[in-house]
Amino acid sequence: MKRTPTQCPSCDGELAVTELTCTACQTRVTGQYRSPLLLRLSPEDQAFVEAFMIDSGSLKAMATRLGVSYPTVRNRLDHIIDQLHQEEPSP
Amino acid sequence: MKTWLFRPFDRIAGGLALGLGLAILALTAILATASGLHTDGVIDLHFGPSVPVWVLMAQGLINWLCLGGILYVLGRWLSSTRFRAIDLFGTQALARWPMLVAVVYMAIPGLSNRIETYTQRMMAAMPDDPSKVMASSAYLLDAMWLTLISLPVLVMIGWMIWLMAHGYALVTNLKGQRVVFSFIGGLIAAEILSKVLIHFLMKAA
Repeated sequence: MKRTPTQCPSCDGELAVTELTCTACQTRVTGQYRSPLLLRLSPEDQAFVEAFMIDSGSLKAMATRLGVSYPTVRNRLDHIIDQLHQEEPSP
Repeated sequence: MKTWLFRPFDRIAGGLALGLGLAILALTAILATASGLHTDGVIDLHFGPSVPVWVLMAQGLINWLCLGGILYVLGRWLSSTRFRAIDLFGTQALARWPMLVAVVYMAIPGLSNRIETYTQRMMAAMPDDPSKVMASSAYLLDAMWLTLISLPVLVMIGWMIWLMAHGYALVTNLKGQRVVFSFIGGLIAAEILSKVLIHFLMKAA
């Protein structure tokens, strides 16, 4: 399956989901749905979050697996957290 | 290779950096004792009187702890990242490895005698009246040689400062002017503090 695009190739704006299709009966639902928060991250950041979950949230384990230092992994995570805060400001 | 030389802490930090850094501090102290060198300040390397190896070990520890301690306090104050102390102290210890290279360079037979000779000749040429200009062209060649011989040491010290700054920026995740000014301020404060502590150490030794 192709990677879901998150940015408009023309103006770099955010893409919204306007149609969903049932894979079983092909029923189509149309509307204006915002992409989930994690889907709005770059593919690299999404891969990082996936790896973070697989390693049970252990930055040490991630650092060992990726061959980088603990602070490097920590900073990458902080960067993603900052992006998530910008996307969805806390109430 | 470029990463290992200029951004090593992207790959290594924590306990491993601390262990390697402490080994480098010890080795630097042993070699410096044998060559009559002193590391009497965070970024200093000078010839000095012969002292036991423990004094050089203590100098190395003072230099490392002064800078590490001050940068730790600054990082806790300025950074919102919850960084680990072992990463900061580990990277600051390992950042001192160019100093070991500088000490090895200074241990080259005959080099120390040359530096001392040039320095003494130039010091002797200094006029008693400070308002008079020293530069007699007779000593220009000495000055050039002294600069040339000292250049590798200056490069190593510059490299060490870069590594210290890189370690501090990476561990605390500070960016922009905050990291630049806090590091420079911290380095100056650590240099002064280490000089004072080493002064007392030399008195006690």
